[in-house]
Amino acid sequence: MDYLVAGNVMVDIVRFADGSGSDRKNMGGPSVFAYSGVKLWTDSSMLVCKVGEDFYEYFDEWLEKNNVVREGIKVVCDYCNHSFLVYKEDGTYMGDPERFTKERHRSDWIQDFGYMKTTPEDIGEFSSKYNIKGVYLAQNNDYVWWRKFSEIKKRDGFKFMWEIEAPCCEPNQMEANLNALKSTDIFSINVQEACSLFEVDTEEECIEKLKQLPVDVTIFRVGKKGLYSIAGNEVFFLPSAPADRVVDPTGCGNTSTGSAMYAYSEGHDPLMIGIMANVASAQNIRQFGVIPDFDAVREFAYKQAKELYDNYKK
Amino acid sequence: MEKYLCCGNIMSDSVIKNNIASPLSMGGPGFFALTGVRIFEKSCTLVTRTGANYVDDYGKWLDRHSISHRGVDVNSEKVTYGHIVFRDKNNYTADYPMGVELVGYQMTHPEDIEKHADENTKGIYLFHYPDITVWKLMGAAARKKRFKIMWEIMPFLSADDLPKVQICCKNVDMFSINSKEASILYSISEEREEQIINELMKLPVEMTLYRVGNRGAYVITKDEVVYCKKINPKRAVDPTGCGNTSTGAAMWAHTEGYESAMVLAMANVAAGYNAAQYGAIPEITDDLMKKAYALAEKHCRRIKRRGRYTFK
Repeated sequence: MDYLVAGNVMVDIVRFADGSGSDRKNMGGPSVFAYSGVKLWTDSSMLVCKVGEDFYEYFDEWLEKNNVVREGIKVVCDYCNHSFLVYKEDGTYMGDPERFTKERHRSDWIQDFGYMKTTPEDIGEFSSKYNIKGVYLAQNNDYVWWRKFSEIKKRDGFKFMWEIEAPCCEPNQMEANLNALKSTDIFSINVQEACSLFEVDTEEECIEKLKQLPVDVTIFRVGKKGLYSIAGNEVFFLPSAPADRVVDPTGCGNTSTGSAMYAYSEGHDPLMIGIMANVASAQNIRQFGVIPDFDAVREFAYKQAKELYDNYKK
Repeated sequence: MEKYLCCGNIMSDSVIKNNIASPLSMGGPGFFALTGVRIFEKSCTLVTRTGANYVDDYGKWLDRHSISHRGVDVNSEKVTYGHIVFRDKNNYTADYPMGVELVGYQMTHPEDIEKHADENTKGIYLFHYPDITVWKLMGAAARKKRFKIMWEIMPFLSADDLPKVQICCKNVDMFSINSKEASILYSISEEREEQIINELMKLPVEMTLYRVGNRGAYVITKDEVVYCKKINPKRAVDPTGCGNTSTGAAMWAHTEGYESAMVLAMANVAAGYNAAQYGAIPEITDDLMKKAYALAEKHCRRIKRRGRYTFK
């Protein structure tokens, strides 16, 4: 086993600004999307998450079809978090307050995001068992969490991708973020979060700040435009990879981030890291929920990544 | 390990009455319940996930009462805190400025309890949802380690939760609920107390502590119901945590084999001491333990003199 993808799982219903949306609940949550971004390239990857008993109702067919390793999935309560996402015109989204009130399961309470949140020990259980190359997690910047995690990381020697959580993107969080970055090799943040964190207005200003962070690579996601792959003073802007259809952007950020973690841990250069992130995102946007069948698209993804890389290299 | 484990969040509270906020004081269900046990029993401890700054106040309280810190898992920076706003004597709202997600992250998992329970463990207290998965795991742990469980149900229920509560109760020995929660759960008005009690008698548990706020509490078993008014050993200041404290005491007393009247008296005495200040009971001396026990015995005799309700 080479890769661990940890964090919360969710079951999503999506509605867009024009009123269209998914007509059923879809698999989602940062860990599942990020996992799909790794699984697109390799089967040697594992989900590490706490879930509700209803997880298998929504995920079993997908787990079975794709031979997903179940060892790291732990049922701790009755329900996964079910979310009802409403997109705004600008592409950002929020929870649907009406459906949250009427249709939520008990575990939709924010409290249960906490109950099911990944602990450093959850990661350590598997990073000590397998010779893990890389780990992904969307996480906050709590000092105690990072102290415990850094000990595990030192012990087991894997690379770590930190996708920052939105509440940590306030300017007064910088000191705690810098502490977390000491244990981070590759970092992921989106444009809204970066503007808020650095108190700036433009992508260029964000990039100047991100170049100074003490990590090897930063994936700076700028929505449907694509992303920047930043490694010290090297900055690559990579427009979104082409997709044959565009259905639902939910989870594209997590998917591309998971993919970038894989590419980085495999030793690819910052250009290829960004390309592989975009290719995974282009697969995620083709349907509601996660990539349904990895075997069906893996060859295409490798080919697309190689072609894009060759083109950019020219 | 100690004989009794009080499990669940610790959480400091500021009580807001008439727009005036009290200073933050120690609380949270796990901690209040611990004080309710500790007032009668020294072999007890806390099992909780919490913030590193617990050592500043909770840790000192544990040290003063010779309680080990073994069950405390520091998993984040800060102990959570809440603002509790009382609308009237029995109704309050709470908000958590550090975010409810952190409250969830610090919630106790069944595996924490199983890890800390051993052959000495006789009883545990846990404050949790009616979550079938959680209580199945708890029931399995209890059968393996042979301890009894007191479940104090969390608020924010709906009538839809009743079937789940009935299933969860199959995995516990004791149950605790207040009148507002029971009224919602059974869709019966709080005033129709007999009807609610009849329903509670049907639960598959050995004993239920039914708390009726300012009026006191009932202990309900399959074939008897005893009632006791609130007991105030000192002037009452703040009711926050009285339910958790009395539930902790009732868990201990029932597990130790006391009769229902004494279980109830001990629960109400513990709640009375808790109400005497903001936050949890600050200092439990040997003298206070003796006084509390004597007071409970006195009220037990009164309860028995008055007789018991029999619902068949």
